[in-house]
Amino acid sequence: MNWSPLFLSLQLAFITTLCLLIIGIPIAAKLAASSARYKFLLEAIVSLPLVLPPTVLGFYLLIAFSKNSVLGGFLYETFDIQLLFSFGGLVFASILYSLPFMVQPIQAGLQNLPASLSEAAYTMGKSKREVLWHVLLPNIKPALLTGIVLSFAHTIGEFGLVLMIGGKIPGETLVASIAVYDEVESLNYVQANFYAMVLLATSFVILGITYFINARLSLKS
Amino acid sequence: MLLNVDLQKKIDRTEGAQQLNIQMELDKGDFVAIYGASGIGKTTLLRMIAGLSQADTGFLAINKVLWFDEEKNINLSPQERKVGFVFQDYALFPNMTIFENLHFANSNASLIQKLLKQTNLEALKDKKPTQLSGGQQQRVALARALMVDSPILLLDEPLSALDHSLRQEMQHLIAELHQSYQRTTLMVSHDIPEIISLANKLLVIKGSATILYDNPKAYFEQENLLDEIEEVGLVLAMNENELLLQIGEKKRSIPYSKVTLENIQVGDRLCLKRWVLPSEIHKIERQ
Repeated sequence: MNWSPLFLSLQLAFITTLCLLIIGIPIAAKLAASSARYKFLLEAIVSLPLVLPPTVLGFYLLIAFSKNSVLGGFLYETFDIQLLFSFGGLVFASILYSLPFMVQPIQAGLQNLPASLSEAAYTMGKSKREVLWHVLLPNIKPALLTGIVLSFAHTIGEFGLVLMIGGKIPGETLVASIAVYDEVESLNYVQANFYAMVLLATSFVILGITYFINARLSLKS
Repeated sequence: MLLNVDLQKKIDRTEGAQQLNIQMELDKGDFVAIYGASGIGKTTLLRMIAGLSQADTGFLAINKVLWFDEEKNINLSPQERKVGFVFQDYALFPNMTIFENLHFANSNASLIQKLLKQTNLEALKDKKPTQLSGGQQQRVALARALMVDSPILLLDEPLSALDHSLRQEMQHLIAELHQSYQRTTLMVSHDIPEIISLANKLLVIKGSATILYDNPKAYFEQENLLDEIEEVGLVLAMNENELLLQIGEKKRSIPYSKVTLENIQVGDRLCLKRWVLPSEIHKIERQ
């Protein structure tokens, strides 16, 4: 059995989730606290991947990553980076694709906290960053967990987007979801079933653990 | 003059938008009750002082330092102002223990110990806020607000969620803490007896105007909002904090501090004066 696509999927999901935590928390905090008139525009942009066919995002990224485009050309000429058909490109695309799965639960969690919590901390002289770190985030652990798990699971389940910009280079961009499709096309059902079963079991275990922990957390509070 | 307020703000009330005008000057150690109908802007005033809401026009100065001046374009952030604020919902941080709640406000260990002792929270300091009763949470909120190194203490209806006996106990504690820390205190309250027992000044908000009275009791008497009752009670039992009295046919325990009344013994007769709201007549019959 070839485990490489599974490891690649896990690696991609892990790195993407980590990046999304770093990027998603400030975006969610900004959206939750903002009452700006044009907030809805940013919300709509963040949520686009929820409704967009992955191939649409994949198509535009394909064009953006190509050496002939401004972004792709700049990255290639300045840093010698080529995102198309590379693991780095997959990470970048996955971050965009799973962004709403990280941002939305955290934003909802923050909005559900009473405003007086952060206001009380502000009157103690605490900065917005201190308040986010010490007061707000510790009180939305279930939302954080949901964001992490959904982003992770969603990245593992990516298919159309990876196919568009990653191709299926073994060890580089051939992730498990693509491998299932690939093996079926080659009528190799045993290997396809192996990938499918591992994906199914992994997803079930991850979601099971999440709901278990969330139930414990809500009991505690 | 510690606090100098001349603020205007348009606020949305149930009867439509109206201008709130507030002018007052307070001295160090003043205890001002803010009195007025619901939604009239009492909480907004506290929030404008703390920097959580912004006034439309006017100025606000503490110790002659401008915190807000619309003309000079000065508006300090809540972090720069730093005031002690007890919110109506207490706003205790659920993820922190009682000790950590106080420590987050100010890491001065001796002050934490002192306040935990004064508010009788030493035994509860490692508990989380959700494990405490309403009265205990209220004490934490007070202690935490006093941890903030500020000349100003703002209390937004701090006792409204408590039952009658707990209210009296808390009034006692607030009075003691005020005595000990001498913070200039502004407290939103609807409760007239509570205002009279705690406040030395009264800010009444009516319509768009506000008036500061130097004698809360006189105001309520003049408005026929208050009656005085005199009762005689026999001391049946006592401990450090409470007296058990026989008043007429009823037994009542009242909070008591040795500071306020010395040398009381079981068997003493005490004269109690109480301010009560004029009771509403519910039935009239010819006799």
